[in-house]
Amino acid sequence: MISLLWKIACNEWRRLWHARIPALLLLVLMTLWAIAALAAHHHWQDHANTVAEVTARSQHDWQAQPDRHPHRVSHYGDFVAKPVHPLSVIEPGILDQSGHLVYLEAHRLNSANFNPATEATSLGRFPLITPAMIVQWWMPLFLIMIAYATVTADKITGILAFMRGNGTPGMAIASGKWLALFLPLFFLLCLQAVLTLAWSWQSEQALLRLSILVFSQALYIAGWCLLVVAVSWFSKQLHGALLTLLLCWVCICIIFPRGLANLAQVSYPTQPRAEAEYHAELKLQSIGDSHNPNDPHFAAFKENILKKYHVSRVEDLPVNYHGILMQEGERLTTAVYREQQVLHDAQLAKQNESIRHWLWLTPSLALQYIQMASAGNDLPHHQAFIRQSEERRYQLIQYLNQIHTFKVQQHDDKNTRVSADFWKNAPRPQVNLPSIAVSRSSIAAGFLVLMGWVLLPGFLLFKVSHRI
Amino acid sequence: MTSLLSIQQLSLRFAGREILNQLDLDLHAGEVVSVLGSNGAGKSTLLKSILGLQDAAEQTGKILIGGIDIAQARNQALSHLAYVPEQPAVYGHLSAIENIRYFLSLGTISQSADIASCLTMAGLPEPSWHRPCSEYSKGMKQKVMLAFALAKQAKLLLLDEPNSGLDPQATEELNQLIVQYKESGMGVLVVTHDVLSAIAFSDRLLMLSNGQLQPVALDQEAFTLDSLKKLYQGQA
Repeated sequence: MISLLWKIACNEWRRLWHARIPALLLLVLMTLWAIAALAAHHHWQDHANTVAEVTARSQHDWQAQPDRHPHRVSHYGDFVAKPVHPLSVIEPGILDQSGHLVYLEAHRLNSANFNPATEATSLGRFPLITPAMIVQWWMPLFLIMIAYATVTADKITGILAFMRGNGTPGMAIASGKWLALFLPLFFLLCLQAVLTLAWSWQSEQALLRLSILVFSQALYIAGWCLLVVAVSWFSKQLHGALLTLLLCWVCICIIFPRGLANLAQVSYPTQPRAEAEYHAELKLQSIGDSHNPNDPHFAAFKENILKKYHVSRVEDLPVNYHGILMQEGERLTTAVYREQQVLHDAQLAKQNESIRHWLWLTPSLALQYIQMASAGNDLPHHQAFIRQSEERRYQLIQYLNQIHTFKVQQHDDKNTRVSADFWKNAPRPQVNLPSIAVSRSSIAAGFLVLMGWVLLPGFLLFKVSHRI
Repeated sequence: MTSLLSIQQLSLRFAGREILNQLDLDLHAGEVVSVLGSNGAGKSTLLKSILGLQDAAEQTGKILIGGIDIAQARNQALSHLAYVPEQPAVYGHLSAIENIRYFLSLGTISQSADIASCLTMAGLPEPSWHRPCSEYSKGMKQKVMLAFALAKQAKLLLLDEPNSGLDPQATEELNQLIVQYKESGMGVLVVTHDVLSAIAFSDRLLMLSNGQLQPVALDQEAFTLDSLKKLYQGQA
């Protein structure tokens, strides 16, 4: 049976080669792929250089701070760069939109900024062609143009009836044709994987992430090859096969993904940043004002501190009351800002969830979910980065507030300078790329859809291949 | 004598319409049987049934090829026959020899005849054997397919409208070839509209009418335009 399929596949390759146009289209596709890979690599390299440069400068500037007041240090700020996986060359995902640098400062919850998408010129508004996009959009389109006639032509010329009538099983013909389409594309996917692995194997979970990526891409392309053969078998006319397949492509790759994203955005709108900050400010005001001596929350807080240290006046405290007040203020603002962040994350999660419910409509989007997750550039990875940055910010600021409390004399607060050694040894935990497990639900949903994507046209082909 | 093709009580309903109705047919080695019939009478359906390409649920009766039930062992049964469809089904990018070799390799036959001698017997001139079939005329393509039937060493040959689209000379050559096949001991079933050719090479002429096969007298003199019209209209 294998040799039968192989013979049919070899003949199909010979036929495509002889027809010239399919070979030319394949060449165009490979050229496009090479351009995409080079452009994406350049983009990634640029991005990685920026991150490295900013991280190094930030580290240097932080270490170079002189003896100074800790509160000044807390507003001096600290930069954190999002760790980017080398697979971002294949799929940058939301990286350009979400940003990759966070400025950490006291009493602020800064979201990631320096996102290249908002800084792009009008020319740069054209989306960057990436290798992932080639697989997701262009490869199916080229496949359709190359192979829409694969069975229809045999039908019209009577070859299909001849083969079937002389004992060649329909499933063997269908499988052979499918193999002829799938194998070269699978070879290209494997080539991409090997090249990527060659320079990314030392990165975190490289093999696992790449395996998931290649497997999902292979399933996606296998489904398209099955669909092309099934529709070609089903169609009586060449233009019918071409139009049906183009309609499928437009729906699967353009209309459904766009429609679902827009629908999710309309159904579950996210709060604009200014609005979130306004709500946070209102909430903080309702909690209390540390500058107001009559504020009930801070009056009670002061009472507790005085009681704890068995004194009756702030001036008699053995520690710096302003430092304690800073710690409490940071705790409160952080809680409120984190609450806003949780709300924002929940809104995004709802959007994601609503898209995931309709993911079965479009394997293209399912593939995109998996590709972004594999490259570490999807929403869960970004949220994990924001959480880690925020944790680092909180630890650092509270450390500085503690220094303020215990190392700065209360009576000479404004003029006191603390040794630079304190900032040099400040806790600045490294922000790491989270495990791919953070995206497991997206990956699982994506694979479920891709399995269905292969099974459905496979079943369709099985049914139609019994016909002449 | 064992029948090469035996159709017993074959009935077939499709979309509520009875296409074949308890049809019987026996075809022996060295015999040519032609089936006539108007468009839509069920000639192609009959061929599809013989080839085992009809949905078994729509069909009753039995078809034996070389004594083998097509419903039980389709591949084994089909190894005894060669089917040539109305359109000459050859790949344009392959030569005559490559086409035959490729199609033989897809079948279940264990051994085949020498392709060159089959092409010679089919009357395809040797200089054209290695040229791509896209350069062939329809008659030449038809000969490639008949050479394939010889190479396959089939005992039974099914021809669907073999003269369709051929010029008189090519038709004459084809008719002679069918007679040669018959003389070599092959059984041939031809589905055709070309009554005159059918009379030239057939041993029996059958009209497919109301789902059944009716014998037609093999008398060329008796066939006038009027009698032909009546013959075809009578089954309408």
